[in-house]
Amino acid sequence: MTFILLPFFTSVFAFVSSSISGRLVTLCFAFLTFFTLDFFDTQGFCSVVGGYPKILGIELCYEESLFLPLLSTQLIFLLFSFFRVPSQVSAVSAVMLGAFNGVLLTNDAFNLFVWFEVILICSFVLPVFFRECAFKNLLKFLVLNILGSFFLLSGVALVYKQTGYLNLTKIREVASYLGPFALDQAYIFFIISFGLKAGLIPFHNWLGCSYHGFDKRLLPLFYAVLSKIGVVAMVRVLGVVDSPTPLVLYIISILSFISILVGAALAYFENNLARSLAFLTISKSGLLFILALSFPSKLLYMYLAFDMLGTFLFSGLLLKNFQTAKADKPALTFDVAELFTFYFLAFTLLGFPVSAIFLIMFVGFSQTEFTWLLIVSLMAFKLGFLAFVFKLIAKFSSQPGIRKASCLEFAVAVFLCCYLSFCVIKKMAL
Amino acid sequence: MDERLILSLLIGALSGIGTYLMLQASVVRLLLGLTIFSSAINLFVFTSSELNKVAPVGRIGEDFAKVADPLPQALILTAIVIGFGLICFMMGIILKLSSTLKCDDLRLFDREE
Repeated sequence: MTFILLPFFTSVFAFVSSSISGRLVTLCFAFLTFFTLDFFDTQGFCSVVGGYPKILGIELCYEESLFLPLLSTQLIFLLFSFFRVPSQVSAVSAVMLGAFNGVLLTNDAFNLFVWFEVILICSFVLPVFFRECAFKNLLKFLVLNILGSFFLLSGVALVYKQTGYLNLTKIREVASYLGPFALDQAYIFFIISFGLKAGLIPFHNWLGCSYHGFDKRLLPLFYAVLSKIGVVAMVRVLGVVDSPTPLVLYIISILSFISILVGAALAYFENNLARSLAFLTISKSGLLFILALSFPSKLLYMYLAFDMLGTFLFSGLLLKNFQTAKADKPALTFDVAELFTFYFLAFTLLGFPVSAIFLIMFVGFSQTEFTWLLIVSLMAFKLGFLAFVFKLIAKFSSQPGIRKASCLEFAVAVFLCCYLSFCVIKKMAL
Repeated sequence: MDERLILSLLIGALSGIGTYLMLQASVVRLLLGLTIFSSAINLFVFTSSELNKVAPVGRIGEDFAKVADPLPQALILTAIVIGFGLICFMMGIILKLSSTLKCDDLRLFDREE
């Protein structure tokens, strides 16, 4: 409960405080929430809010695998509280943090919907506090996400109809007695809902149309956290059955693979940086959905935690240094330290050389029929991301000399990292 | 007629009307469509419990086998509250947009960009 209540208290204090003290309060509470992680039991535990019987009450469960995503989210919000934003933004972002923790910790299908809605409401409200807010974009964002919520609610209703429970542990028990196709209809609704949230193709339209209209201080939070909610929720829902039916598997894998390719292509050909990053998010969502199908949630959470933090820092750094004052020639103006950080983050997100380890784990744990798709998807995503980074350097670097040198350096570094990854894989395979 | 059939027809009709209105160019119709669609979803949640039963109000000596499942009704209440909040927020956004652009046509919103 601490993880949900602390951000909500933060929100109240930040909302009633003035701008500077509001930010200070948020910062203090963010530190407090962050250090609360230290007291967590490594074995995992469940608690029912209010002491009601397990099935009736709101059950929150902590597992060992949730430690990293929780740590990563607290860290992102801690970093976000350093941003110079109005105190209302700090307040609402704290509520969003509490709700994200709720999505991770809840063990109840309906509460998953409720936390999902709280996050959505926060994401609708957040852009309004900034001077630069395109209401038209917000409207598209709002309508499509509300539709997504309706589908989620329908899915929850179908699960309840089939199993008679909302508690995920109980649903898992009952689902094992039911036939393999019992929850298929519910899964179709969940795919539409979470696909809409994560920007999976063909539900991706709102992402490219809305994000670029919001303030750029807000966007890293949206790219890193908001787009990942759908993936987290899908992992939680997929965990209810031992293995989803081929229909569900094929729908998710086909949509995900198309998302990886189309997202990367759109990101490459787009000239607006905010939009380009939004399209890259589509590609990333596709990859995460395929990973969710292919291997245990423990590993996915690990990768997700690493990816969320990386995306937040990478998009934050890019948007901070992207000068749009000269409309005819937008430029990225990095100093040496920032350029080094940019390269480091780009490599981290590309997964060099860490990807070597992840690749082995992914392939080792994946189901046999998806191994080839997994490898192709990973390669497709990496190539897409690489092309995006090259385009960033080549098109937006402020000086042509630096542009060529940077491209060359980056290409050499990528080659070395590929070779290193290959060596690690070969050694571990032996 | 069977209550389940009537409810199914009603849900189908409301979803159809809601979808039709949402596909129109007017923002007011879009809002109405969303509201009607949310009612259809709430009814859908309602059908997830057993129908043909007495109201779930505790009475002494009541046979609990005949009492309706209260959980979907509680879910609908929560969903209505959340949906109402979102619709109100959306109304605010639409009001702001319409007052700025002096129209309620979504196609004109795009052109104004």
